Amino acid sequence: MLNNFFYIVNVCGKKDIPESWHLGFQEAAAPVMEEIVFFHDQIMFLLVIIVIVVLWLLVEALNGKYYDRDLIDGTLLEIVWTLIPAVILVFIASPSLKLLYLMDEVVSPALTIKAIGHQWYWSYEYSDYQEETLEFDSYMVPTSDLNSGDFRLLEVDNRLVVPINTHVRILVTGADVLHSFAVPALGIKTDAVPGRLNQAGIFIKRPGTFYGQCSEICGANHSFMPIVIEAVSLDRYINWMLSLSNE
Amino acid sequence: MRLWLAHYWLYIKAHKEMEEGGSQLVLQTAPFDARFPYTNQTKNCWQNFVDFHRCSKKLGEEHESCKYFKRVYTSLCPKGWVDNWNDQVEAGTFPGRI
Repeated sequence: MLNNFFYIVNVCGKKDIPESWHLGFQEAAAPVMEEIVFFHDQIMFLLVIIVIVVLWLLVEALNGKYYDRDLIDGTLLEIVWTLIPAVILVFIASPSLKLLYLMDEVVSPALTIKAIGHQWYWSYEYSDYQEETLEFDSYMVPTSDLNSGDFRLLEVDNRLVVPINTHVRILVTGADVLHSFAVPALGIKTDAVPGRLNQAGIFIKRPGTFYGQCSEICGANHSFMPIVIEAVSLDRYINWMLSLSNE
Repeated sequence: MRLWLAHYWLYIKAHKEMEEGGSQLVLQTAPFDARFPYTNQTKNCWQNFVDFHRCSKKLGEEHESCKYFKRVYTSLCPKGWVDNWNDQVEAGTFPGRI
């Protein structure tokens, strides 16, 4: 009983990883994702009102109480049932467009990271600091090598380290076929197209480990090339970078 | 707007903290370029690579302006692309006008 209770709490509660029967969003860690969640909630509010009104109208119509055999047309009625949906659509479209342009914005970044999709792993490059680009591959940890508490099909050997409270530009490209770099908690999903550099901006608000997966069918092991972003404070990021540069 | 101002403030604060801490690492990357405001940054990378080679032909690789182009294209272009283009430049088969 208690287990079931905790399971339901877990399923309904927000978190940074996907779980089975996880119906909601993951906890937002970036402002863009927060806006996406607000937008979703706003649409759900409108949706509930529409469903209730339509069901009520259906029930009333089937009831036959307001049947009028002489009603052939009604100009006022038609104006009303055209204008109301139009206004509702405006209330959906305007925040949607705002969000669309907000997601395109890359506010003067302090750091550029390149994510390159391969069949079937991601490789990352940091080339802002030294002559030599820091680059590494990030492969999924196979189930047989997982430690207790690790997430199956989500852990990688080398995580992407990103500082928090910093505007970061992520440039995504593919080395062979189409891939897609997606991390739900950060609200990013960018196609990795060979020969093209796609830009996305992220701003992480809290430290944590955020998981994502390739989101464009890219071949046999498409399901086995996860993305793990480790968000750390700026100090820790710099120490990490310096320690790697000194090696 | 208020949202982004708040983030900008956080960003400045973080940088100030880092500067006060006397860090050896300067956080800098290719700045926003009004010629390439879109999601697609391919041309941004390419143009800076070509500009670097044009610049170094005229002023020499060590000139401050050329160093800027190099920093920008190094930040933006994937290493594989740059290596490939450098080979082409050496072999005289690079398709761009240098």
